[in-house]
Amino acid sequence: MISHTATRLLLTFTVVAVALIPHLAYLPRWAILLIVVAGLWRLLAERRSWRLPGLIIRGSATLLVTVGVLNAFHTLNGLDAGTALLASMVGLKALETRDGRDLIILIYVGYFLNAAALLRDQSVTLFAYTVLTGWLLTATLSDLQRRPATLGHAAPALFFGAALKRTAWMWLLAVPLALVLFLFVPRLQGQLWALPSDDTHTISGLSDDLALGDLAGLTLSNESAMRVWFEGSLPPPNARYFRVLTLDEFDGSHWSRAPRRIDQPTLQVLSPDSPLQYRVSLEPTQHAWLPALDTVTNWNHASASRNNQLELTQITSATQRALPVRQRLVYALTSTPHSIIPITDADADSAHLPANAAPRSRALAAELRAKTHSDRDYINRVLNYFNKERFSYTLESPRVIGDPTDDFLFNTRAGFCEHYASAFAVLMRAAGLPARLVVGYHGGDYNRYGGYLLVRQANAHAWVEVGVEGRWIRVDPTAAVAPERVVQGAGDPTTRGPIAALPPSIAQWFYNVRFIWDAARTVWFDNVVTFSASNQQQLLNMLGLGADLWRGLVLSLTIGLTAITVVLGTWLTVDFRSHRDDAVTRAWKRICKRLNARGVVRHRAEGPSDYLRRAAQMLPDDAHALNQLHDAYTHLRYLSHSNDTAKNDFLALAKKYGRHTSQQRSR
Amino acid sequence: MHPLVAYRRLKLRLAQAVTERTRRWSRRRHGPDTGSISIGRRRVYILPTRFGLLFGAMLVVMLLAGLNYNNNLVLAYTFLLAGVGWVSLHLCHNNLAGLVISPTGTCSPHATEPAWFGFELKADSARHDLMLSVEGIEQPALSLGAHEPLVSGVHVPTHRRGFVTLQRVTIASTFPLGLFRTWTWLYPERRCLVYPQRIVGTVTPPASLSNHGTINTDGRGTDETDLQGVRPFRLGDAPKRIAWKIWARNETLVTREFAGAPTQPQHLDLATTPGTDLEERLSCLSGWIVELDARGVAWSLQLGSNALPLGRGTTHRVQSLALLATYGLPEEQEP
Repeated sequence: MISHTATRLLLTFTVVAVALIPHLAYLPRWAILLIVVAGLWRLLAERRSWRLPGLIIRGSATLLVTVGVLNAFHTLNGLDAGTALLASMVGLKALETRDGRDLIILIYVGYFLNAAALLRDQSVTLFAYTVLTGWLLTATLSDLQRRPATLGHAAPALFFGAALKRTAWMWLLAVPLALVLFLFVPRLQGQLWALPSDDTHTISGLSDDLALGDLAGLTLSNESAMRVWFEGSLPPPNARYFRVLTLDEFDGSHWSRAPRRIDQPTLQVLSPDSPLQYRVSLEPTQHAWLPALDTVTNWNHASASRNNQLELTQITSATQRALPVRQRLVYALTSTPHSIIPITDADADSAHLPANAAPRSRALAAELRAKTHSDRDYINRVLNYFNKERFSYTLESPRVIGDPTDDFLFNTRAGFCEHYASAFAVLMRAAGLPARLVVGYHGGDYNRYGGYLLVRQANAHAWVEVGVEGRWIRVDPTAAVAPERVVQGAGDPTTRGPIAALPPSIAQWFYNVRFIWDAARTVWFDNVVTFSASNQQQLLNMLGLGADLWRGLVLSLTIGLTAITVVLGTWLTVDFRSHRDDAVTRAWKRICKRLNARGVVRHRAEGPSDYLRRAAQMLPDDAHALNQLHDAYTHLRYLSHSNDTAKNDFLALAKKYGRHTSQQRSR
Repeated sequence: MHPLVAYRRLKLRLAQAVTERTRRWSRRRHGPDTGSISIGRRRVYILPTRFGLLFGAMLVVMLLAGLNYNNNLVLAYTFLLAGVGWVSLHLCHNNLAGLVISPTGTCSPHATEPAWFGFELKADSARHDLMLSVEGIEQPALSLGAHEPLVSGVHVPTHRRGFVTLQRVTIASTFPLGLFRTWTWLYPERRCLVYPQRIVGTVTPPASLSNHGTINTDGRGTDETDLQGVRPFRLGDAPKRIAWKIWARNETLVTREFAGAPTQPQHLDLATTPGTDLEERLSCLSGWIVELDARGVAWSLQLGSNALPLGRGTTHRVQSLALLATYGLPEEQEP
């Protein structure tokens, strides 16, 4: 027999544990251990009537936990440290839980844990999870209100079920109010205060400098990098080169960025009539770079550097500061494919090679260069060289021995896009042509359910820009080796990841389901997660209140809340506790109505028993049925031991009698 | 005086003053509640509890976090919780409004035992965890189903004989989430007679009783030693004399009969009752009457000019005790 207190403890601990689940991956192991041990110990203590720890033990435990969190995160501020502290406090609170008050505090902590989880992840799945958990927490809170010595009804064993049902209704009824608040509560522009961000989590994606082999690991990742909506038609696959980074410094094995300079690109737009307009929704990268198609001619929220590389910047009066993309970011761009980025004096370093780098490659470059008469001819010869010689395309590049470029060109001859791009750029520079590596994404899968191009991390790609005839042109040396890689991006998506093991038709089905799910998540993100002041403005415009945002919002809030309070409030007070009769009364009233219709009118002072007896006399055909009804009804209503069987008996008889009379009428 | 103690006292006094004023105001507002009372919406009060305020503070923190980080989902979650709180306000208020309370009987005690005032509660929708209290003394919580009346009551402590008046009954509930407490005050204007305190076994019985053996008002010794047998239960038999062990075995009520118990009628007179003052003598009589009644012995009572003829049984006992309870009290205390 589990005591009342033990049941309540178990229930509360379980539900708070459910609220903790989304945090598990971010908690230090000792914190999880602490919570589990503390919870189990408290339950056992209840059963064995152990003494709960005193002030000294609890005080030192609190101190230890604080030190532990400080040790793990080097701060108490910040989302991870904050949730770790909160979660550990759950464990400590569990230890000292004495009465209902402590349990209620635990439930409130559970609500906080839910909100903290949403700060970390804004997916529709997590939101659904937190709402469900919130419901469970509320049901537990309701159950905790139950007085142990309640007289009358409400069987204790069924009570949590009743609390679940009741609170489910409460959450449903809360939706209209929440919706009005969500739509019209003014959003802040900018932050009042900022938590130190947690940069400890590595997010897969491109990084600042590129060593050979870096991209290969990324290519196996199925995570999405961005989604792109195009106005009008989708550009052809061979035009889907999203530039992210231009790397123009080479030290023999690494490519890296030149020191950042804030300068406007000088562009020459060749044919301005075919601009591509598109909207990009970028996953968090922790970097400021914004992927964009060649060649960006119009942008906002961002600054473009000389080499047409976009960065998210925060522009204050004096400075421009790169702003890392920490949350999903949506930006609109215009690119003009037929435009030129001219070579300027600032690009002078782009033909530089370290003196001792790649001696054999230099020799090869000299050899090929001697046979050619123009820069373009040289480029084609190098591409031909890649094509004719036995180069192979593989994600598993062999270990580098000696100079990376020479090793790749003359020894292993196997590599990935960045090997080809790097070697190609070195060969260009060796011949005195300016060349730089461009890292970005190429390709993407079109999601017809969402109408966007889904670019995954697997689409990461590296290519080269060469300075020819006073301008930069794009060359993709990988295309010379593996043309299908360029046409299809990173290959058929159904052949990637775990679904590759499935039969093609099932893989296709999975692939479609994933696309639909991705589209749904995107809709969620676009309409809920990023709902902002500008959406509110649009909404107010639709309502005709758009003249002044704040006035409109306050007015809508007032009207909306008043309407809900009046309508739902009235309904709650009048109808929610419905005056509907129970099943027995309803059945009884139906019988009376039928008898009434057949001429047996019930007198005002006539009790049910007398009435049925009289009816049986007046309607001899029905006498048997009516007498049965009489017995069942009096048994049910006037005998103290009446139970569900009596109720069901009566209802069955009433139903039978109802059928009987309607048959008679139809005859 | 320690400043903290002074502060607490001041706080307590202030709280009492405020409560007293509100109660007087509500009293004027409601008027006396006689007969069956249907609790209308106008007299149902509601305020957040301490946990309700904490819940509100939590929502404010979540709201600020959501606004600060432009996190719409935290905002949505906060608004949903706020909506749940709002719904709970209505449900809490509804838990009390429309409840019908009718007075049922009272149960007269001897002084220092609690008096009991019965109520019947009913409503056309289910009610949960209603708490009745009188002067801050909480009674067990009650729940009732729709159209299913429930009889319960409140205990009121008593100190002296006479009438105890049911001043004010509070019916409160924190259903469903404990965020709000709804309550109403009832002024049922009911009173209940309190019999004189019983003095048990300390006073020597009067001579007329001693002649026929001792009345050991403690009762036990006689009961155990002189038990003669049992006979079927008759209305009016004292609960003390019922053989509960037999009842527990086969659910038939039988009354124990004793040998040596006085069976001759007794004449009780205040004038000859021992005791230092009136109250003590009344208490003594009170104890004897209960004892005689338990033994099924007839008695008559002489209280100054008031007299009760010989008789026995419950009615006679109640009459006798009522006479003792009101003896010498001012007229306005009479029923």
